[in-house]
Amino acid sequence: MSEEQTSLNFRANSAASIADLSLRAAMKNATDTFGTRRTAAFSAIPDVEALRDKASAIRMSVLDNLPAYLEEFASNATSAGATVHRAHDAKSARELIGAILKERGVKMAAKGKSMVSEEIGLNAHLEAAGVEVVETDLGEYIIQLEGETPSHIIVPAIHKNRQQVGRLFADRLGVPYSEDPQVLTKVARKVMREKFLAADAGISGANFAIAESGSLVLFTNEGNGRMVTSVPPLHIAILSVEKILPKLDDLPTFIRLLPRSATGQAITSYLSLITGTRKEGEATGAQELHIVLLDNGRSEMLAGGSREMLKCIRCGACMNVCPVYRTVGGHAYGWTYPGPMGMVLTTLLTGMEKSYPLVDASTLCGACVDVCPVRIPLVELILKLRERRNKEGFSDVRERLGMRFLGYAVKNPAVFFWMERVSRLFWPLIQKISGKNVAGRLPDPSPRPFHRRMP
Amino acid sequence: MSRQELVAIFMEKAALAAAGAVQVTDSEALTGAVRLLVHEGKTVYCPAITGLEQAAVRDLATRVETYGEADVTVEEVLAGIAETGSIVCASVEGRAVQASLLPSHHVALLPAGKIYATLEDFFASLKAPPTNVAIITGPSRTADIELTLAIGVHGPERLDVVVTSF
Repeated sequence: MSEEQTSLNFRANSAASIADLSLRAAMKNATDTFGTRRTAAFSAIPDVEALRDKASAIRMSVLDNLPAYLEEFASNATSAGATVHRAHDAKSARELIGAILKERGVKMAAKGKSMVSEEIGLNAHLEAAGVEVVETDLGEYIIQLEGETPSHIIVPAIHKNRQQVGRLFADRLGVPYSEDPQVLTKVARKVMREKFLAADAGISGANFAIAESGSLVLFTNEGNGRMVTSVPPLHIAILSVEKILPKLDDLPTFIRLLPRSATGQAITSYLSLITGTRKEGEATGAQELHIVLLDNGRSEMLAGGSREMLKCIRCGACMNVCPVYRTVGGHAYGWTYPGPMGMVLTTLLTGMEKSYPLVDASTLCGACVDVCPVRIPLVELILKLRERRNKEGFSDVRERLGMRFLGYAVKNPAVFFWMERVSRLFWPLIQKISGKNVAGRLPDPSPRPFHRRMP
Repeated sequence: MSRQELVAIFMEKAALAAAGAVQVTDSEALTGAVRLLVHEGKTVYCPAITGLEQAAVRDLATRVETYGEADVTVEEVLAGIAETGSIVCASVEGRAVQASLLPSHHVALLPAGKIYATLEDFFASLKAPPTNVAIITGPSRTADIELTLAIGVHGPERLDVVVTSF
């Protein structure tokens, strides 16, 4: 999907989403539910603010020393039996994973949910190379059957209702139609169990990587994450470089924050800690473990002024509260990551020229900042991007000229006074020139302006 | 905090995560509790490494050798965490952590002395982690369809914890 980024069409995508009433109903239901559950989950623990401060400080300390932590992680993971690879960009990561699978003659790989794999377009690459990739997370499986991409980083099929899933399963799997999520879940369990046992390889992401022990940490609820990382003989994990945490002792803070922020759970059903390969006398673990550390633009971000975005732990809380995301859904953003974190990350990782319309996808209300468990200053970062877009010449020329003129006018009361009179006189003409999307949406000027009502 | 208070918190939190939790105070009660938890005719896998495991399954006739063909796994676990009501399975003593994942019912035997109060206490005990550690809280679940809770996706649809204090 990285090849077909459509962030440039954000406006058109949004208009289409807004017209889709079943999508909007599904989005409202899901984001409201998430919001309520999150609030309830945090009301049950003391000192949430101190916890967020601590999490933010840990994440910042990682970013301040990232190369050293990556070295430490790689060295400890290698000692535990893993093979650690560094991939500079999406293409090299895809090819690296493709080559590992090809060398070992892998026909089918069972895959756990991984947004980084979506970011690099892994599935399409592997399918083209003749490897069958089966998504095993229920939400990912639904959208894989449908040929879609995720629209939320936690609940990939958030945009689909139960009737749509029921029809999809009936059509594609030949099972009787049902719209009961419990029944549909059982169908997926049965289909998937055979896949797990037959898979030659498991592919997963990771929520964190622990530098001091070389461990991977995965938060999951369904159990597919545990399956893909421990049942097949070969396990490939792909994660972006900033997912490091220094110590095992840092985990409790994030265990308390991540599931609560993501789904409102006190902890996920499963938390897997995977350290290297199966050792002498052990009966669990892959025989071969490859860990791919993906950069794909992170090093540049780290060196720039928006590095705080790399604190992100991918909980999705910001999108659930975002008035723009809640209305247009995830697909409109046109790349892997939607919502406030997505618009910032997409622009920083893929470049302004590929994504500048996304910079508008915010009302700057700050709800995302209120819920971010690691205190990413999203509004500040969005404003910085708007400034950059302006400097780099990607904003609308009429907007740029208009704003420059307004800036001049408000600094010069006489100009402001006269322009106000002139614009009142020519209002119908201004409306006509600027089109229905700008002045056409504004109310007519008041007969007596506010500043003249002041004593 | 007394041991019994820890057990009480553990059981309350485990129940909140939809796990069954009972406490037994002698070996006979353990055998009886497991007999009640394992439904008639279900096949049971038990590694039977520890005395606790042997006592737990001594009344069960339908034992199988591998977890892959079992309906139920009965096993002693590495630890419990009171704060979250979690149990911990790990690749120690030659144990297969998948035994707690593949069968549809998992019965965990948890000695009260292995319950840690907080996540911090547990991780402090884990200085050199074994290859595979699974912190398990309640049954396998998903909310991927309309955020409606469904139990038993890929892992067990039922988790029972028998806390032993003897």
